[in-house]
Amino acid sequence: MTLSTTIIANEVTDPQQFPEPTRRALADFLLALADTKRFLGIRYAEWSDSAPTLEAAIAASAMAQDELGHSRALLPMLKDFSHVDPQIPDEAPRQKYSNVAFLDQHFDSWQTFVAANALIGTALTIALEAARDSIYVPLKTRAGKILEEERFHWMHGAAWFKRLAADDRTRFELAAICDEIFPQALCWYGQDDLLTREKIFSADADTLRAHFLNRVGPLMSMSASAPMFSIEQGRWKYRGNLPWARYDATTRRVENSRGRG
Amino acid sequence: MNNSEAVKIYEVFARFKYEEPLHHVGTVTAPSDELAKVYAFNTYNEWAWIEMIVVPREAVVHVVETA
Repeated sequence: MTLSTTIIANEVTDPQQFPEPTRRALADFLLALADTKRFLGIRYAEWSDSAPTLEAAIAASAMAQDELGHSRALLPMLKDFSHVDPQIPDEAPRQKYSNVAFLDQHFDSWQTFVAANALIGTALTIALEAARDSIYVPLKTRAGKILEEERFHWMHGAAWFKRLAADDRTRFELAAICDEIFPQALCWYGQDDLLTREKIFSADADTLRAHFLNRVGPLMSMSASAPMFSIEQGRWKYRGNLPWARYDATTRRVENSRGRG
Repeated sequence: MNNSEAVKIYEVFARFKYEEPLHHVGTVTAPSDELAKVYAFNTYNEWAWIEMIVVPREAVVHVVETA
């Protein structure tokens, strides 16, 4: 399924042209996207010498390079936002990052790698698909390039997910990890549709969640997490509650997420 | 993961110019065609290929075999 690409509007290259609330929301989104990609890249890289096979290790290394490259392509965009600390786009060390909280910790198993690849990577991809025709040109151009590379990330995550979900030795651990990631991935799209109204995205948050569920639902149905999902009128639904009380709309993080043992 | 699952060797062919034929660039070992595609793309990405294919070694029909 592809997202609607019906945005017809003037192009914006300087974010100062946006009203202040839009500018701030856009900067927050870019930082959350860049930081999550940064930490995905770091976590992937940690497995580049310990994946199950040599080919899987090469894939982990390649995906790490891709994600870190995406982060470094996105961060400099923040130089155009006058309210953003200029040290952030210069990659100065920070006390606080806006990555998906699940990525705060190392991946302690290959199942964790695969679940994050298939779910967190795909959650970001869905958002970028909605930015392919963005009115904000710097995002639109980067989205196109990033999505080309993400195609193979999805293939990798989906193929490994099917294998691990079919194996009794890994399927329950995989499901437990998915149960932890899923609410964080769904919350990542937020509840505010300001960026959609401003034509920076072609789809609102609920639509992005629906696209994400339709993309990964068939995978989840093969896993031990299947009871958490249903299909209603051809659309995949998540039966769990989303932890909005612990959601930080600025960083897009679900705070105080349960640590992995 | 299922270590008992059979993995296959795939021969990788690619070309980076339209006027050239596909040529053999190496092999990958993978448990499925899907992963073979990903592994071949990541392992042999030193050129800007215009086409790349993988062929399960077991599908190759020998015409003249080595002694």
